[in-house]
Amino acid sequence: MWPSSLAILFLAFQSNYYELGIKALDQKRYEEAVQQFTNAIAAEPKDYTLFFNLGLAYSLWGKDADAVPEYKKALEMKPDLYQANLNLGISLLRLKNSAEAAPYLASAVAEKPQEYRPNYYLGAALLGAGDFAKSEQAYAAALAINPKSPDAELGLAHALAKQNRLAAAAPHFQKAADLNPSYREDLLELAALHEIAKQPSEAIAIYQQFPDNPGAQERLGALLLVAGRAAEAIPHLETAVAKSPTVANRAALATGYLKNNQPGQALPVVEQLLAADPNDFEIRMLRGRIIRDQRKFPEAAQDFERAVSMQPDSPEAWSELAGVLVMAENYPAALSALDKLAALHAEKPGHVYLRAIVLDRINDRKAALESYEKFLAMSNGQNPDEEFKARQRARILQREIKR
Amino acid sequence: MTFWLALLLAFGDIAAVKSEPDLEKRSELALANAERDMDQARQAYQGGDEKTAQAALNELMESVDLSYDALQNAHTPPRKSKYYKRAELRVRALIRRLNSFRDEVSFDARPPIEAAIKKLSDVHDQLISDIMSRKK
Repeated sequence: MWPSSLAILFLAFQSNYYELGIKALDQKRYEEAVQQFTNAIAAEPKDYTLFFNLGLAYSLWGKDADAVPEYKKALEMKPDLYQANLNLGISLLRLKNSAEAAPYLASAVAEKPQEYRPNYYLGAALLGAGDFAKSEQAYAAALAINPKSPDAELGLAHALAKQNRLAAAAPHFQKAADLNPSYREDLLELAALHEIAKQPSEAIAIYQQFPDNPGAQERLGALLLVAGRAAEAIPHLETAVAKSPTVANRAALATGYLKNNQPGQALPVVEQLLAADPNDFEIRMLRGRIIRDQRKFPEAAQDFERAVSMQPDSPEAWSELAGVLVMAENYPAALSALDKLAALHAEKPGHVYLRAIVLDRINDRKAALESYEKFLAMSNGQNPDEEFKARQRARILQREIKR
Repeated sequence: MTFWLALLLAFGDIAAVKSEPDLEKRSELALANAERDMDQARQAYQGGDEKTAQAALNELMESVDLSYDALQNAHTPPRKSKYYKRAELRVRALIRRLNSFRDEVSFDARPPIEAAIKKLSDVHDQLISDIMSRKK
């Protein structure tokens, strides 16, 4: 008699806790709902609906980490509970645990393959877990259910991009942006991927769609500059500098001016940069080149001397220094710079030719002849004009030495 | 009811419902519209079209409000009006359908459905109160 009465009383309490829990859920009193479902579970620990509702109360309360174990317990008792699989998958995704979310969402898809959400979330989980091919399939399934979903379009675009299928990804990035303008910025991500994949024309085409975005203008200018389209690059670089006057942007603008034969406009930009940081190697080199192109060789040599003092192992700086010293007719210093290049094992045919010219000018005929011959051996048809001159000078020098 | 009004109603246009001059009929038409909205909301949710689902739920709430306003403006005592009782039954059925819909969806999709349940529950409570009231 007693045990059965107790059991009835127990069940009555359990039922009451459950109802109070549901009522609390309906009234959005989630903390109380958690308490009621926890009490109900203590009375009836084998009822999967109680665990599911406890998980749900935690989810609605925003406590995903607490929801996860409750959904898992519900699924241990009833593995095909669609709502538990879906909620658990979403909670795990929110906790950035994509790999763990994927199998639960796959179960939800298996339960309801024609529902959009499980397919979409499965795509997101697989993308996060790095299974890009399967993510692509899941997003494609979501899009088959709802072809106008910008989220699924964007997800599919990312899944394809992660597989380096940029050409396939591009129309989906575009469609996502068309369906939801807030996804337009993702096109910039596609442009960056095109840059990495060495597809500058595709990247340029995208950046051109963002005239008001300083970052896009900066990249557009830089890409046009590299593509040898300096004149086109300059307005974009000017916009970038106006909106974001960083060292990189101003240096790119100065380079653009220089490449577009506008050294007069490049120089003030470079001077401003050097005023802020006189020890910036790249900018110092840039100034040296601008001054060199204005044929102010002694002044340019000062810049390159400063550059080699900043980076004594830079062949580029020694090479520029040697060149301007030769032009400035400062031959001993030019020979020293060429010696340094040889010591750095960075001597190229052009440097040997320069050495030959210097030695020729200071009338060291024997050494000059040796250098011309060394140049001819190294150049081997790569510099036909200089090789012609070198052969002529070598012949004359040989004659002079024999006399 | 004109042919054009009937046609509009067949496609569930709430503007057409509002133009029905017979207030008790308007109440009935509004509830029929709410039931169509319910189907549409569920279908849109399954298809992942959250915007349409939300719009359908909004129209569902508006339709139920319209139905109740029409009954109030008809000035028939609620205790004697068959339309009040019909509205109470149909709103209750809609709440049941919404509850079942809410239980099917993932937790992050529940809030708009819960808002609709709350709205319809308030209207339902009001209908019961009006029917039970001794006011003429």
